[in-house]
Amino acid sequence: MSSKKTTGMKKTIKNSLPKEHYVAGLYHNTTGANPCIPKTPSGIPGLDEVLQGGLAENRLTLVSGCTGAGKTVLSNQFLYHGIVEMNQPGVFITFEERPQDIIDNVAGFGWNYGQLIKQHKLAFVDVSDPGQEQVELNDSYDLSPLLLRIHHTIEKIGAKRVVIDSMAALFIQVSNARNVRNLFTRLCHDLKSLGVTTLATAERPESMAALARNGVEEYVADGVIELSVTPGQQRILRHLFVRKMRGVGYRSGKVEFDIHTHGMELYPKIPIDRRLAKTSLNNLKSFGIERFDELVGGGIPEGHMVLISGNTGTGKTTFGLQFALEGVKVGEPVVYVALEEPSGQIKKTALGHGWNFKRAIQSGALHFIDVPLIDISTDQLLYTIANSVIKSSCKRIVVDSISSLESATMNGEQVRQFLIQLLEFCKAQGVTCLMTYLTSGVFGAVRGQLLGQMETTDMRLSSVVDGIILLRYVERGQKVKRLLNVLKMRGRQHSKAIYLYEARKEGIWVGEKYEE
Amino acid sequence: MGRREIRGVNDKENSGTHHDGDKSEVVLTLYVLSKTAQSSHAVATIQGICSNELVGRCRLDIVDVSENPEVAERDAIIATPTLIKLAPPPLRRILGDLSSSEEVLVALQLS
Repeated sequence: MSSKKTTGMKKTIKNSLPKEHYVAGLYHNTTGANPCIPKTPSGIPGLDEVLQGGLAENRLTLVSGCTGAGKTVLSNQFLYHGIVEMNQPGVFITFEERPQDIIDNVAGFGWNYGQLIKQHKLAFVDVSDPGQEQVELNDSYDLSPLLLRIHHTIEKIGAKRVVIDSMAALFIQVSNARNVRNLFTRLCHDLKSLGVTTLATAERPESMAALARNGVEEYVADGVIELSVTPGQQRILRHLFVRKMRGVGYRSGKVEFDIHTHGMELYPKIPIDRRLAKTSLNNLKSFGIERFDELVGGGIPEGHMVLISGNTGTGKTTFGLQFALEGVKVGEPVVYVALEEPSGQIKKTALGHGWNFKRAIQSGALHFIDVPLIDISTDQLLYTIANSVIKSSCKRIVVDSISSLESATMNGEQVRQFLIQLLEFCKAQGVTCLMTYLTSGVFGAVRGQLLGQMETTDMRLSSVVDGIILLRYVERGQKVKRLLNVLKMRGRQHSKAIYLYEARKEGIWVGEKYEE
Repeated sequence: MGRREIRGVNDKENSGTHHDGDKSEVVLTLYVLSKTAQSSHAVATIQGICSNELVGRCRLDIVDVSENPEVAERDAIIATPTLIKLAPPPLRRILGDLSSSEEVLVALQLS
């Protein structure tokens, strides 16, 4: 279905970016990079965008957070990615868990540490509590052996990456805090001189007193990344933010992340450079609906975002489906975001109209995104959409519907921000977006007041979007009639009149101008 | 720097049963860092204990950690000087500057 040109474009994008990570190409802010401090990819999708390229090479970055925040997952992913994807051997210095427990735990993510150890690409320095009787006669002992062991292990396998998890646990084994602090400072210098990039985890207790105890880590570290967890309605909400990063640029602010079966993934907000916009008001995206396309002035201009608003049963999804169908027909790949009902159901509805999307889906001309509505994250959704759009060189997006997103997040402001970001993204990418919106506007407008039930939400969103199409029921002469009006269509001469329409089996049918 | 003998002394599973026949035998390993005054003191103290209080019933190995980081790794040594009592059980680690033989003898809990 898609033209040869489109396939070619898709290939270029695929080759130039790492797999599963298409959005990376959108982050264009390496201009502020410090040339003296090279960066190394962290291996955590999304994190390198936040860190503007990756972790500072040959430096120590602290990953701080409370229990269960994901510190260990992040560190292990950094280590595993380095070994497997970049051929950088890694050393794991463990103060808490036994190596075997770590090996067993990460196997859950599909990371085979046992094999990497056999291949001499991974080695442990086991500083976990041996659980033996121990007497400290006095403070006059030297923790140098630990440094020697670390040094030796790093050199033995030629490690480039090191994880320390977590230093504070040494306080359990050794009572002299001064010794432990000195050790950490010496270790930092040692690791730098060895040319390894290090992630050290630190438990972040809530009390300030406890914070001061381990505070040394934060002063010595070149960078601090903080992880936090907060309970959501149905799931845990996770955030990451960069507190400091000496000498290198990073993006400030909280970034959402999640831990999946394959590891950690971040959903950074997508930076938009409006200068990239290459849209033309004369490049119109039609619906392929007779008469209707004329009403909107030939179609939606490229890069515009249009809201189609109406009560249940007014045919919003049918409009969406026809917009998608037309996209497939003219060789403009489509991303369909199924929020209201699962894609399976939408496909069935389409089949009912005689539209079979099977081939379009197989050829990549049409891509469905299914979004479970419980504890939905708008950042995550935007990231997913952006990835799909870039991956498929998509030209049209259908979001069905924005109202279900609103009810799922229970937060109108969040949805408004999502829309603004999506809008900016669409403009920058030259993608046209059609969104359905369910209004609770009641059945039967009073005579002469078709717009009477306009909701404030509609109005609030209307300043964001480029166009609004209203679908309304009216009760006239013992009959329910369907009426439509193009309320707004930036950049086009559109019809201002109200028209009769019907949602028929073969699609939307637009009738006569409605006059009372 | 005294006697240095590296063997599999710290085969911890066996150490308990190995010397079942001779309950009075004391097996010690001292981990030191070469060329430090602290280490020399520790070596002198422990060797003194072996040839005085524990004469005839003490086996002592001295490991220089700087020359044997692999052994330090295997035996989970994080500090020097460290004295490990392998027998009689239970296994016991003693940390700190081992300059006083009285203190060390108490910490060994032999009687």
